[in-house]
Amino acid sequence: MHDSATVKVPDGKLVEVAVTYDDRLTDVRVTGDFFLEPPESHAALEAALEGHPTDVSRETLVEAVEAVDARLIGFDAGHLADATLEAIR
Amino acid sequence: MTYRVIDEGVYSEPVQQALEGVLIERLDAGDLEPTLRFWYRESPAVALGRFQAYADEVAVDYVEEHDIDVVRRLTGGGAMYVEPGAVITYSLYLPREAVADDIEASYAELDRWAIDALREVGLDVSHEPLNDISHPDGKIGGAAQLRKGDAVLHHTTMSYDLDTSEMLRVLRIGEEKVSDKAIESAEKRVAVMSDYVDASREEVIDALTETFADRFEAEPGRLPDDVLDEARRRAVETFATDEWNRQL
Repeated sequence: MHDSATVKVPDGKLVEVAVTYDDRLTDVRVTGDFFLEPPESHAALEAALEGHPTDVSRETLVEAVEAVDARLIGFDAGHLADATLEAIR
Repeated sequence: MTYRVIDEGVYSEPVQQALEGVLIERLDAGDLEPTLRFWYRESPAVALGRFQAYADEVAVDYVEEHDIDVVRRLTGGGAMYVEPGAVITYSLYLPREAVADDIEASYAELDRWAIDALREVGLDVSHEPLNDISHPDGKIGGAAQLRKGDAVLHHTTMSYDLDTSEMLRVLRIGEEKVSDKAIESAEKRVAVMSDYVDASREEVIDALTETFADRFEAEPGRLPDDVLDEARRRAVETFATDEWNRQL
């Protein structure tokens, strides 16, 4: 299945997470008008959200994102976890 | 620290965006002095944020029919529709040590001189976190940053006299950012300078240059030929390709 969800961060940034999944999240795409330093960490951020079972907890997703060596600007790991879970709900 | 001010050169959108990468790398390598560069464009274009999905942001059929270049930037942030003579874009390339570590503070700090210059020509503008330059009626412009090694790029685009109806045909702002009363609200979100001041675009750019020179040490400069050659090469290899522009 393929679904997506968008989270609007209070300061105005939009984060969209599109997920391809069956019993696991196989492909995750993160897009939006946020900032990321370094920009090259984008792929690692998406990879951190992949491979989890569909009943993954928010906490696990947040931890996976926070383990990536990246500075998220205009959004945080919680927004990514929320959008991911909303997409597959 | 003396800044070079480059206020010349008309380039295509792919070359403009390619220049950003070449210039921040040259500064990081110690081969370029801190620089303020004003942009002059050849044709209408969309500068897409680094992480935005192409098809979410632009009206794909419309930009193809009208030959509007859609070029993915090296910087994050949102899509901007730009027209030659109707927007003001400038870039600052400066050493990291001259910029606050805190990202939010750095946007405010690097926008300050420009906001003061705009106020001097009579515009009621202020910095709105994280990266907007706002008028009470809407957003005049926005900035985006990129850090590379010891270098920081801070570039800003502002609407001088942008055709906001055309912008709404090119960008999918109405659908994206505003849930109800889409078009009307989206148009309201963008404010253009020419609605509020008599100053011409050139006069606004002069005011920006003067205020910058008052605050910092500045001397006129030119783009080195090899920088431009490298940017033209990268434009062809990357910034004019679907592979880069439609990667998301």
